[in-house]
Amino acid sequence: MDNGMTTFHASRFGLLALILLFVTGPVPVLVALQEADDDAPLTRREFEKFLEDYRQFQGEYRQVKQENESLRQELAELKAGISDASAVDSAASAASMELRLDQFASQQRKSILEDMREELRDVTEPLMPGLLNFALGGTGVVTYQDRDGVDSTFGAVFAPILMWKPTDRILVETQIEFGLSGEDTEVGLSQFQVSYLLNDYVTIGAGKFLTPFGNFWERWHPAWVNKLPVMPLVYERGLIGETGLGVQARGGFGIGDSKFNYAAYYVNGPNFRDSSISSAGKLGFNNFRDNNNNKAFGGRIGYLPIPELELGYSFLTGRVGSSGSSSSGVDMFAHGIDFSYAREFQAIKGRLDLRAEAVWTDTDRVVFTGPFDPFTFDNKRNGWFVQAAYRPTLSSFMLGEGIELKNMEFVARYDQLRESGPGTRGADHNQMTLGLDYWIRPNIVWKAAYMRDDVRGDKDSDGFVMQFAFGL
Amino acid sequence: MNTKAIAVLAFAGAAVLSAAAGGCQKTQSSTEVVMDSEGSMATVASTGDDNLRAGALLWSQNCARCHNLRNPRERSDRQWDIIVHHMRVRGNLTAEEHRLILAFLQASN
Ligand code: HEC
Repeated sequence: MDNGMTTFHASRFGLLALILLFVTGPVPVLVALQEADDDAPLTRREFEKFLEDYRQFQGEYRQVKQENESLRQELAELKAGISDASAVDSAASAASMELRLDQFASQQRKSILEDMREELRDVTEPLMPGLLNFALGGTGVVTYQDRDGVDSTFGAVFAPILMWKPTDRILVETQIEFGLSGEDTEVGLSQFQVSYLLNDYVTIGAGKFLTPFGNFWERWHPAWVNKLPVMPLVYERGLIGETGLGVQARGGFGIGDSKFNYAAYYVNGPNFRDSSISSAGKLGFNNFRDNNNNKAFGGRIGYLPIPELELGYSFLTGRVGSSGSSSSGVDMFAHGIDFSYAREFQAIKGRLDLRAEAVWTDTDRVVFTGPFDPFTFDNKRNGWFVQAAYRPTLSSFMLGEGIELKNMEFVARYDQLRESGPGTRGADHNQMTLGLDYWIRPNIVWKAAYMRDDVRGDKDSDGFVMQFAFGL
Repeated sequence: MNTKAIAVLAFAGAAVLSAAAGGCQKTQSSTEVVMDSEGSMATVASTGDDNLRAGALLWSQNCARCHNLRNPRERSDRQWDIIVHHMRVRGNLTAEEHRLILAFLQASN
């Protein structure tokens, strides 16, 4: 062999290999890098692999179908060839065979589909890592109010809830409220709770959570849930606050056919107001840096003898006076009962929803002093409401082009409030509210309501309220 | 006409318009959701899966207690996982209700 030739060949080959390496070298490295990165978007290769698998499944599915078809044909031929004497027997066994074949085929189909679904999920889920642990809730509201004695006004609030579920047992809910007041936009943390599913019967939570007293704050207050555009008097007038800052334990369990549920909480609790005549004796619930070393304790027990009916009893008690002040020894006790019943009835072609609550609060007697004459009073505030709503869900009546009666809901509520002391707008306050709702979706609603207000010894505040509300 | 009346009329007008628009879309009023759910309940019943049937019943009994029934098709499997957890905490649902209702929603969306 010519030595020079070999050298030439060898070096030419070497050069070629070098160029090739230079050009293609990074590819395996890149591929390896991409494979190492879980968050990377789907590569063409992965997608083609998925397509290939999908085609394979399709092929398999066709094959099974074909086999099934030919078995069926054989069966038909067999059936045809059977003599009259054994017809009854064989027809029966042929029928059962056919049934078994059908079952087999549908099982095959199902398992192939399930495999495909799994495969698809493996491909799509990595495309949005992190996002899978979040969900959105919350509400948006626009209100127009025109009530006697105050200037009419529009108002708007948007309060989204971000839910985050990082593990099977943990749920974090955060609600930020954007509101408008005077000339300003107000931003508030209306809820923030971390909860942990301890076991089947106990969930513990910590943070700023809706008060589990009665039903209203926890269950009925979001604007797309509340069937009227106004709150019940007892809650509007602040007998019990919307949220508490602290810890809670809660859960539900069944005993036989009935169910029980409970919530127990330990929070900063309300604080006592004594700085002015108009607020004397009232409680403030935004107690984010506790005014004393004593926490408030409360709880609720709910009982559902049947799924449609719930009866509840709640209480809340604690020291409300500020430490170091003249009212430092003042305690409060509140308790209440609640009722809810909701069911659809054929006879009235619709759904009936009844809700009622009563609340009693009692705060220790204090002698108020200040730049006014000293005074005292029995510091009790009580109230109740009943609400009935009817929606003709089973009616197919059209009110007009595209407007269905079944999307309308008729609501009536009666409220009563009894307050003692000078810090109240009147001892005796009754209110009747009639409302009409139109549900565009289960979570989007137009509401209109007329209120008749009756305050003894003060001006009534009758009026109209209209509202558009949605829940995310 | 005073401005108050204009505001009221504007609000009412918008309500009627959107109600009509919502109606025209012919999608999911709560009854239709219920009918939908009856549909899926029928499908569920025909699968002969006892758990799914129990889940459908619990869903219709529990999830309409505080607010209108929400359409199962509104959310993905994972979203329902988070939301039913939220509702369990909020409404003190039992562990069994949680499990069966979630399975039903995930099979019906
Ligand atoms: C005890 C009353 C109650 C029960 C029972 C209940 N919900 Fe809710 N639900 C609420 C309230 C209140 C909200 C609004 C949460 C907020 O804004 O703080 C809500 C919100 C929602 C939302 C909006 C997203 C979110 O999580 O905030 C969906 C969807 C929903 N519920 C579905 C369901 C389903 C499904 C069930 C049955 C498992 C159910 N609800 C049972 C009271 C209830």
